[in-house]
Amino acid sequence: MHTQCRMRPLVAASAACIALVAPLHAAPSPAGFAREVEISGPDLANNPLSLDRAVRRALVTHPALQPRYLERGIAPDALAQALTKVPGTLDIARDVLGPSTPGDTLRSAVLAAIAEAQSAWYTLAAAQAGRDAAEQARQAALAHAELAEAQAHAGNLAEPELLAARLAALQAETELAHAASALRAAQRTLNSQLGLPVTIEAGTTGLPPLPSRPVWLDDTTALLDFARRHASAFKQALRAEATAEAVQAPHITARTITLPLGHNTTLLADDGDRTRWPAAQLAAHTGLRELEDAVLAAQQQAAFAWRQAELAAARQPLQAAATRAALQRYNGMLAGVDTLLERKREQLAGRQDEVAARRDAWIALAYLQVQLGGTLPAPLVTGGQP
Amino acid sequence: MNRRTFLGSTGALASLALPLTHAAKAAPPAGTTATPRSRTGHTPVTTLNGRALGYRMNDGVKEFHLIAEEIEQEVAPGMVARFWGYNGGSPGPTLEAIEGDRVRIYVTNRLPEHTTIHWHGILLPAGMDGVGGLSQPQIRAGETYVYEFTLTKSGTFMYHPHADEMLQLAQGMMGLIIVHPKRPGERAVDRDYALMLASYKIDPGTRRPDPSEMTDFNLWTFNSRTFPAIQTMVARTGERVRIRVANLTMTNHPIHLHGVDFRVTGTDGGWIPEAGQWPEVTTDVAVGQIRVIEFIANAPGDWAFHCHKSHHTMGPMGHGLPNLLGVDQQRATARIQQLFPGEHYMAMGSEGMAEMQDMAAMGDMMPLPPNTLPMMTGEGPFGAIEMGGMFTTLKVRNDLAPGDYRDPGWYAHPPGTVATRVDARRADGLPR
Repeated sequence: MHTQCRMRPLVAASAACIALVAPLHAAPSPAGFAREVEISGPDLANNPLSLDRAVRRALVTHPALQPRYLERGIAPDALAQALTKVPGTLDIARDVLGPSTPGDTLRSAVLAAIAEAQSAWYTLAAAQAGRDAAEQARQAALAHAELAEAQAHAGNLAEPELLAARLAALQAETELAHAASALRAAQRTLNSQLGLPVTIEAGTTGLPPLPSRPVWLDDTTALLDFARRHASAFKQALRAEATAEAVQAPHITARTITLPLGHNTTLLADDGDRTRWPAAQLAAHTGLRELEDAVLAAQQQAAFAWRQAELAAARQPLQAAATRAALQRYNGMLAGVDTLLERKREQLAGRQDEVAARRDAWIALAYLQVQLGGTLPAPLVTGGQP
Repeated sequence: MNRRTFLGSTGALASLALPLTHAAKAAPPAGTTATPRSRTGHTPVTTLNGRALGYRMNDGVKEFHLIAEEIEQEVAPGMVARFWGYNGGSPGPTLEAIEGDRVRIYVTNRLPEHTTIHWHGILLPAGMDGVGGLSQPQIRAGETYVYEFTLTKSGTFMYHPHADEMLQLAQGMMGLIIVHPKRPGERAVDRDYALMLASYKIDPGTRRPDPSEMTDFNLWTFNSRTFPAIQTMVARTGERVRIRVANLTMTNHPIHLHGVDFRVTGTDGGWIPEAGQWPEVTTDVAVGQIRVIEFIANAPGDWAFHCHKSHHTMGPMGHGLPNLLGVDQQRATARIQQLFPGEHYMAMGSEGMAEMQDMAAMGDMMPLPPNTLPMMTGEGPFGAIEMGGMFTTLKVRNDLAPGDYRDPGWYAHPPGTVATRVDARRADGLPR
């Protein structure tokens, strides 16, 4: 890992990283270790966090990384200052991770921590949007209930319909409470990932739209090839396999063996020279297969989540159009205000589904990126990471 | 010319494009002037928004040609329907003839399915009655059939399919047959209007009538038009006026005329003897019936003529809507408006539904679905008329020239003959 930034045009030092604002709590860290990043927490929380800011912060303060920094003698404050000199959006593979060395586990720990932080950020961004949609759905339900109350007051609505409207409003309140709870849980998780005080109500700049679906997302062969060339874990496994194969020259001798099968079936087979079984080769091969399987699993998850998000996004304009059509029908007294509000609630529910699907797609992509060694085969075409 | 040579000749269909010299004596639509009386002295019928079908004489036989086809037609400004009709319209053009006429009617089917034509009320040979499968083979798509019979009595009749009847009637296939008395001067009137009652279910945003609808129609029409697109009827004060009303909807219609009392003088069964007539201002026209009313237009003014079922004098409206009359919507409205940023949401119905006409006028701000009509519409000399559907007017004027069918504009009421607002204090102490 680089703790010093390469020579690049420097941008203004990130006030977020070094702002000298009063901390909510006394900083437990001694000067020179992580005091500066701790006091920057409240400032970070008062401004919506972009994903890049969250990643930079996680790189410095993630609870899984700080013990390793202690072991390596890396001061988080120094790391944070170094990161302020990296302009633009931080690219972990390009800007942070150095060449992989055999036996180095920090690299994978960093990738895992960043993915966790990204996941927490996406979850919070989605929770914010989900809460907003739930609040609007509550407004729609309350409007319906208020109309029902006024209708009943005017002598136009009987008790069963009034009760149904009241129940629907309570249901909307319940759903809003769930959404608010999910938001608080997401804030707690992100606070934990970023080392922010637990009481801070962090916010994000919002869940970004999905870019165009990358071609490589569905190309398993290309992805595996990319992983073999770029992921240090793959490189190490490949080296291990090659080494094991080089030293192994099994001497094959034919002899009778008994396999532990039913009825003590005796088979004649050649199991080679027991003393020179290719244990290292098998282990290396198994390790490689596991890495490949992990890439495939992540790729399939990302492809599926991406498709779900695409479909959910495709439903959005249709549901918006349905709401517009309901408004037009309401204007012509062809549909009632109850129908109009129902369409609006359906649209809002669809929006919540879409946000959740988009969140899942981004998270799946983040974990696929981990499997690929911290980078993607090609930049995302539009939008990109937030 | 026999039938074989007639149909076998090159351009047979073109030759069927009747008439040449015997041009349709279409009664003049609104905006035109006089049509002379016929040789028998009868006044040609005025089919509201329609026309009479042309014919030609062939060896003493009147030859007509009806073409069953799909058409597009404006129901009222803002809405076009895709009907099945005849000769470019729904209803089809009115067949007009004289009692005793021998008529030969060619029917060409340009529909995608078979059809027939039943001559409702006409006494004729059974094989000419037009019931597919019963009295004749179906007229398949692309085929032309010929009907021929003698009109043995005068009166008002209809034509319509008797094949896949539910669908074809629902699509607008219908028309009128007017047979004038042979004797000159018999049952003479100065103005003779005819209209067909038809109802359709055309969902907002669609064009084609829904054939599966049995009861819940949303367009109530005179001659497949709704107010204010229905032609105005006019008469000169003192003229004798006849209005022939045929009903091919699926429900009855109490037809009401303001300003006069009338007699029902005929049905699709024939003329009613004078002794059997009594004064009415409303007459119910049941399904598959015709009622002919006559009166002396003795009171100048603009008089409403409409079906008295109030939901038949309005445009499309949803059912099962929340009853908001008398409901304070203020709080809910403020909340709903926040849910529709950039759009216009207005509370409606708290004080009545008349505001719907204003809403319709705010088309840009509060648009309706495409290709549909407002629930109520129409502007009169005193403001919104708040009508739709089966509604039009009879305008009686002292100074209207005989044979002049032009819309004379709004009635100029003599001073002191219009209801006026009074100071509330004048109402104090009035008996209750």
